[in-house]
Amino acid sequence: MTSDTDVVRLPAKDSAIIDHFIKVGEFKNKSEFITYAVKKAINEVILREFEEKNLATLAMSEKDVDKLLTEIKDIRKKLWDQYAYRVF
Amino acid sequence: MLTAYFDTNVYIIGILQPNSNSRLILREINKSNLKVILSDYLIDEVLSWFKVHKGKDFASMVRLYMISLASSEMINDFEWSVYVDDWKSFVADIDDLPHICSYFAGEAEYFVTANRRLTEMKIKEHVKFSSSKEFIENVCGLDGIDTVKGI
Repeated sequence: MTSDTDVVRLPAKDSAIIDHFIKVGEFKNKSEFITYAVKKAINEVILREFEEKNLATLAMSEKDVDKLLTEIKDIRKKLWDQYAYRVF
Repeated sequence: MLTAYFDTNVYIIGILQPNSNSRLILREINKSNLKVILSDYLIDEVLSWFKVHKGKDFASMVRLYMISLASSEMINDFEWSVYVDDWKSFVADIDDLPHICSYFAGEAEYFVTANRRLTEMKIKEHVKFSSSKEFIENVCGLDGIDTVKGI
């Protein structure tokens, strides 16, 4: 995996809290903490975007759910063929 | 931290259905109360569905969403394939096997799905299956939403 090196300015208080987390073994180092925090923020923003886009979506009926499960099954069968060919 | 494997239907429903237990699960994941086991097979399946039904741009967002799950562990084919021989006689549909094997490879405690057919196979004696509603209520301790099949 490629990675970029960025300089991040943090308030001293926040930096001290991160050091505390590292000391108690929650994270290996600052880099691991920052990666975790960035991922979490990205995930939250995207989830919010999904929520805004689908606010007016109607609740699924039993028929809708069955249709979705069938669509997934069709994809799954095709995927299995590809994976089985590659993996085994 | 509790570890769970969420089937493809949980991500699709969670992303598209505002009032669903699957959406509550996605929110719980983001709060980092859960460790999520992902697999290459699962991600391919979710993205394939979104590409077909919502287009490439939406699928790209979903991809970003899935790879940005902070408390997650990815199980690749070379890892889950190790378990195939042990479990293939326990599932009726061979194409479900990568999900089951990823559950074992990731040492997940729960397998959350709306796929009732899968939960009724012989494998049910070895896998802790749960619907999204059961998971939200019994594992997360939240109030579930009354939905079709507990989605």
